[in-house]
Amino acid sequence: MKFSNKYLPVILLFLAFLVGAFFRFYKLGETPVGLYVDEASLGYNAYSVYKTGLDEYGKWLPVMFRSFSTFQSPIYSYLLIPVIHFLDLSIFSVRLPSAFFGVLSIPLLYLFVKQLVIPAKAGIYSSDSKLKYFPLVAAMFLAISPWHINYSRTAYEANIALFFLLLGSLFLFHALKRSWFFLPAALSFVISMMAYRAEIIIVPALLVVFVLRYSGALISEFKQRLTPILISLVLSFIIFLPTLQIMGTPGFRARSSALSIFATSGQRPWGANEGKGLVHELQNNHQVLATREFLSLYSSYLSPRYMFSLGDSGPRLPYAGMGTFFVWQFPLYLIGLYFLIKERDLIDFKYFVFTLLLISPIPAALTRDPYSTLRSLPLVVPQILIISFGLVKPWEILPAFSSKLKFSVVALLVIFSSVRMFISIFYFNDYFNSKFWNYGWETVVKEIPNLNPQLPIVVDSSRGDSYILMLFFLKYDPALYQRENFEVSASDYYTSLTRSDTKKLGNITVKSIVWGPDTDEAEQYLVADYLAMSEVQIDAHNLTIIKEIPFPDGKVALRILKTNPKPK
Amino acid sequence: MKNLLFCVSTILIFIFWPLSFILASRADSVTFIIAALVLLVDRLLYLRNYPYHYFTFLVLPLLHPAYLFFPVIAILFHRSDIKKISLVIYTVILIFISLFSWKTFYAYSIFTPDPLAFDTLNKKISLIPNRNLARLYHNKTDIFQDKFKSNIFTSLDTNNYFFALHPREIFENQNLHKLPFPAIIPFLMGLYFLIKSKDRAWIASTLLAGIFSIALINNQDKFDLILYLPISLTCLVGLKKIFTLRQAYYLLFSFIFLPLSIIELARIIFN
Repeated sequence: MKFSNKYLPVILLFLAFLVGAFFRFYKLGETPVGLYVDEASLGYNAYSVYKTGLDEYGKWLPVMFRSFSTFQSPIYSYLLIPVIHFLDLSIFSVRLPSAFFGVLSIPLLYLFVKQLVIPAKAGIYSSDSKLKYFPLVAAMFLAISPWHINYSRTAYEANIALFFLLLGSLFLFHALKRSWFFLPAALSFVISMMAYRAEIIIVPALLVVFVLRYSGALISEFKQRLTPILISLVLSFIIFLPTLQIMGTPGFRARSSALSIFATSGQRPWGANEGKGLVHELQNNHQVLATREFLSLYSSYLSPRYMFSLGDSGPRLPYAGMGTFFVWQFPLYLIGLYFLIKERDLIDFKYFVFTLLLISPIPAALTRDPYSTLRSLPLVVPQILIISFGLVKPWEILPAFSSKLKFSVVALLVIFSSVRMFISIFYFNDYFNSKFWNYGWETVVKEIPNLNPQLPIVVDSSRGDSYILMLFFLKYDPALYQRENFEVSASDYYTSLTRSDTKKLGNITVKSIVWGPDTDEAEQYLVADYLAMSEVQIDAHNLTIIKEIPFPDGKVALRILKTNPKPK
Repeated sequence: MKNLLFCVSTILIFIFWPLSFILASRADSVTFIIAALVLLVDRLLYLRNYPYHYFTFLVLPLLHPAYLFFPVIAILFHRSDIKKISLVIYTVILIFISLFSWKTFYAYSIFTPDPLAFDTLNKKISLIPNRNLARLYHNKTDIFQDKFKSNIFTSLDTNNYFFALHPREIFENQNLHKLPFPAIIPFLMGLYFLIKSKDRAWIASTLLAGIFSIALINNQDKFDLILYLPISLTCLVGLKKIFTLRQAYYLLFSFIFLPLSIIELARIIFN
């Protein structure tokens, strides 16, 4: 065997890993510029637990972290504790676990695809088989996936959950040969479910399909498999038990109840009209309309318009000018789908891809947000596998062109797309999207030491939870914060959703600024965004601008002002 | 019973889009209805094996210049069946028509100047430090490319036909309910089985010609009625397939499809 043939897959995998690592780690603490409040909440709560064992609300080692009026899955915050121990609390350290698991997902996907493809087709890895490059292509496409990179560069729990979902799937297929692999599979799946709620639907559904598909194999060696399966189930149950115990609480259900399209309270389903009478009742049946909305949302996750053109509608999510996938991948997606439906040999692979493809959009489609790439993140795997299959499969059946030519075309596409993405992430994203990333709060905190320490500071919170950004960037002592503020008792932690409007951070008060009492009557500093404190209001209330913090596009993001009350 | 269910399902699929269109549109919509009827005429001629049926496509740019590229694209799919002399006549007529249509087509097309998009593009170019890189990745063709891409994917979006473009409706668009949403089942089946259908050549050629020609128009709204026949026929292919399955399957389908489609029909009539 030629040297190049022997080591080429390893070299290409390493290259995919390097490219993936570059896009996930380069300027991680700087781009996206600013910090989203959910990221700040994950980071500060981890910091608080690290320092005191309690979260910002004074709850000892929470099963779910209270985050404003909802709850965050705990895995990310607990993973952050060792990171904070070594690297301190910063934007970089908060995003590090996501980037780390994002990069690890690349070789993991390679191993998983290899695992699924090898036993299915005898001799598939022989030097003449074109499908031997399939796992590599999949790994490379994941490495340059705008969708996956987006969530790897920001602190979102969904990315960790996806890694453990893949890891669990890999172990699960290994377990068909060696039963003790059921144990790490179960552990990975439980971590995945605890890391992000969408996986609470996806993992069981995946397991049901797995059991149905491999029922014959599982029953045939039932005695040998029984002990590992039982131990895995019991262990998983024990680990998941604390989460199960709080699943019925208002806190756990708050987000899903508010977002669910099937909820009878709150926003009515899409297309519902006001009116009375039998015809109206028939037309506006809640369940029918909710089902129609669910189907419309579900089909959007599989629609090329959303995948290759629109992308996510969220303000922080799509990179400027890019969809979820590259446009040139669209024909590959169609080709891949066609060949995968027709495929007769790779049955395990086919089952896995179609199962994940059809299951992954369900949790996201149950909520109102259109094409939420966050809630449907596991979908990136089957869609990338289909696209990769669409590239590799025709190579096997098309007339033989020069291998070098084929490689050159793919390499050119990868390089072209990588540069395009580089431009979009590092030149455009901060310019166009900085206002959605709470840009400027770090500068505000840096400016505080220059202010008169005798004067109180009032930070406006009328347009978001700015207190968490202040806590994060100040690295405010968690023990002190817990003493100064009370929002909910430990016993009501998961049940009461009441919130306090005012937060105290020493001489800093975070609350909605009240015009008059706050602006005209007391001598103090005010910190507010450009909407809260316009030029007209500054003049009207005789405020002095101490500092203006501009967005990258030059418009004012935040202002630090000083009041000038008239002497009484 | 089976025939009755099939007929009612077919009628529901075929009347939905035109009815929805007429109820939502104003007087200027007659042109688009006639354009869809032109395709119906072509279809009938095609079924009768009339060899020069494709000449009907030339009526479309006369109805509305924005359809200028339909006959250009559609003929590409028929070129193997066409005699040389016919092709020459077809081309000459087309060139003649385009002399009158070009200006109006340009006004409706994605090539018409868009100052807002141009400003955004200039801003993007200015953000890239390397001029050559900027020229390669973000140049004037971006505006047309983005619009063309957006139009193509809108035409390929199943939500466009079955869910009125929900959840991402288009501003300044009727966002029409084109087909009852349960019709997505026969449509997807129809797409899959289209390759085995004897209608595949006509459906695929008109569908692709329609999609590509209206992709060149700035706002596809109403112009997309040209896709009515190929889309509905694709549903019909699927519907036929469903009714060849076992009784339980087509009864289950009818049990879901008929009441929901009738409710959907009532919604477009009464709202």
